[in-house]
Amino acid sequence: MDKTPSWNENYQVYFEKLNTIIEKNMGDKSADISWDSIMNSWNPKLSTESLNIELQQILEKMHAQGKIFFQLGDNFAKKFSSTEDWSKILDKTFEQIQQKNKFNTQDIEQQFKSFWQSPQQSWQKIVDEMQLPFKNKNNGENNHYEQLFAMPGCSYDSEDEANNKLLMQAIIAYQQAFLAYSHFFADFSQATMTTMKQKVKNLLGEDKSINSLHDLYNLWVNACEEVYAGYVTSSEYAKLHGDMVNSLMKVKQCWGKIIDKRLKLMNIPTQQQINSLQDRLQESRREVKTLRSEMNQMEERMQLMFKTIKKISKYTGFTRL
Amino acid sequence: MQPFNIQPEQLAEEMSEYTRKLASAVENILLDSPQSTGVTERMPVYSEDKLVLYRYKAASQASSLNPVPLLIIYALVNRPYMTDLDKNRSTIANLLKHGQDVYLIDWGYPDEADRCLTLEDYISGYINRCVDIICKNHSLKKINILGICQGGSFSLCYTSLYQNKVKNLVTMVSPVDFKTPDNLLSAWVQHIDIDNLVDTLGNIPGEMLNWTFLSLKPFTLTAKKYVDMVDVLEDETLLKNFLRIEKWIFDSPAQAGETFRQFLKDFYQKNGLIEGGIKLGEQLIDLKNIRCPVLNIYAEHDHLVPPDASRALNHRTSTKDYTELGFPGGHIGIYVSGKAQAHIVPAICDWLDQHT
Repeated sequence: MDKTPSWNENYQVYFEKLNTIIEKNMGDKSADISWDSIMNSWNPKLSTESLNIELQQILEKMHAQGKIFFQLGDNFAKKFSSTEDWSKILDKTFEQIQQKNKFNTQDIEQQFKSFWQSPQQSWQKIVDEMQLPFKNKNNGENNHYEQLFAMPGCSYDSEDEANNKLLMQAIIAYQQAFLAYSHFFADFSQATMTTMKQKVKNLLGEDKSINSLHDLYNLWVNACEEVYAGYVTSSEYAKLHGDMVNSLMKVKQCWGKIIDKRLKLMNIPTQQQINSLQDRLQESRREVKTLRSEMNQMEERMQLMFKTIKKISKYTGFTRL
Repeated sequence: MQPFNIQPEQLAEEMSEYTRKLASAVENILLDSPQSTGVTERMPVYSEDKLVLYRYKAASQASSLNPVPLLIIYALVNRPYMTDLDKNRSTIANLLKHGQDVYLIDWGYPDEADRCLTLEDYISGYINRCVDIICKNHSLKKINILGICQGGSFSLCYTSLYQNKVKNLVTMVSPVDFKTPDNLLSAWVQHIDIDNLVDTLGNIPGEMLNWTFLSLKPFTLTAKKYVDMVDVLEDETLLKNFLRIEKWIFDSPAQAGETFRQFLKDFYQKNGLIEGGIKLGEQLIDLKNIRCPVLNIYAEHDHLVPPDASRALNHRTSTKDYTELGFPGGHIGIYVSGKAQAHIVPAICDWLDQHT
């Protein structure tokens, strides 16, 4: 049964209702209506089950960004007052959005995290959820945890003990690198607002104005991008980014070592063994290709030789060498 | 003075219009058929492991055919159908129309069994065998090569090693100097322990590359794009174009671990094409070995391969016939924009025809 037509009908009804609500409530500041919550009632994940994954992902992105756009409209309509200072209106309009949507560095961090939270990297989620108090590397808490995991009772044997200790050290290093990365962006929202206000001042200086919500939204996006570019083009960022990736890889390596040991005990092939097999397979593949190429060249040379022999025999009368 | 010229009624109208467009866009998306991964007719002429070498069917309206075939070497990152997304804006269809005999290497999707593929396997192995096959099929000793992005860097390496098999070389948005000050990707990579990364992950997942590319301009490429798109998606043609590009952007194959290791270390971190020292097996890459005519095309607003990164090729080869061509657009626009189809592809074909 084709689900699309019925879904389409429902969808159309939803948007018609939405339009009516907007038209009724727009400009009425006393109305307790949130467009943001209206957008929440549409869940593209549930409503697009007949779609392929690519289109579904596009819809989800449209929905997520549409929600932010609606929130902006919502906030602007509620906070706008022709008598108030424009700078304060901007602050009020964007303050909530920046906190609510994680449309700032948290979004970037989230993207980074979500990549590592694929099924193969679910361990990363565990690390994040542990929320160990490693925020201050100088307060001695790290040593406390290291000592705890170095206790013989916490491990099966001395090798396990060493592996656990290495894992804990790696987790601590990753948490610290991630915190340093997050702290680097601590002033991002404030810097964005400063840049945005400067852009508005520039517009006023040029006798221009913001004529639509879309204009306001674009101004905000451009300010975010400009500030972001300032942050990420610095050498400090490159170092922090590198530290974060390197420390995360170290955690995974330590974890992999522990898993490999368990697999070995259960007589299941380990990653290390699979890597060795793949290395050898590639070497064999390369040799086969080289041999095949040499055989082809030899075959071509032999064919050329036979042709030459035929030619010679034709003129000399020899039929055999 | 108040900078906002947005009246409540106007705001209501704008929101209402936005929801109406969003509804139409969603409806169109739902009714849209799956996106194709290439529109021009082609046939496989050779395959090996995951690689397939395609030959494209000559266009019926083609002008006189260039007797020297053109091999397109695309990057390992993303998929080569970017050059053939839409019949009206297809670089490949346009090359055919202008009389080129086009071949293309499709690298496929590497999996764990390909983790140990090296740059030598790709360049001296796969590319070299494809060139041999084309030469044999056409009874020629040399062919023309068009290298795209990372494929352009590969083409430079290939030509430096096998100059006797390359008649003319065209590079498009290809990085040569990987350490120009405006190369953000390069700056980010400098502090990453590549050995640690590859030893840990094996193959590098495509999602990781996507994330990296998006984080170069995250606000424009997410926040702005998905709100702006609502304005154009009522139009079925624009919608199809958008969906095709969107599919291409997120269609990222994993990168064979060993190749990624060498490419990042030798090209990005050591800037080996400029500083020297890149070795494929026992063979040293030296751009000075390139003696054939070179056409180097760059995009003036390219945020992935900055113009200076491409232009660095000038004077670094031994060719006496070097031509440079700038395109006023970005890294993707150079393949899909109408402007590129109108100017860049005919320029490539004219140049190739003059050098045949």
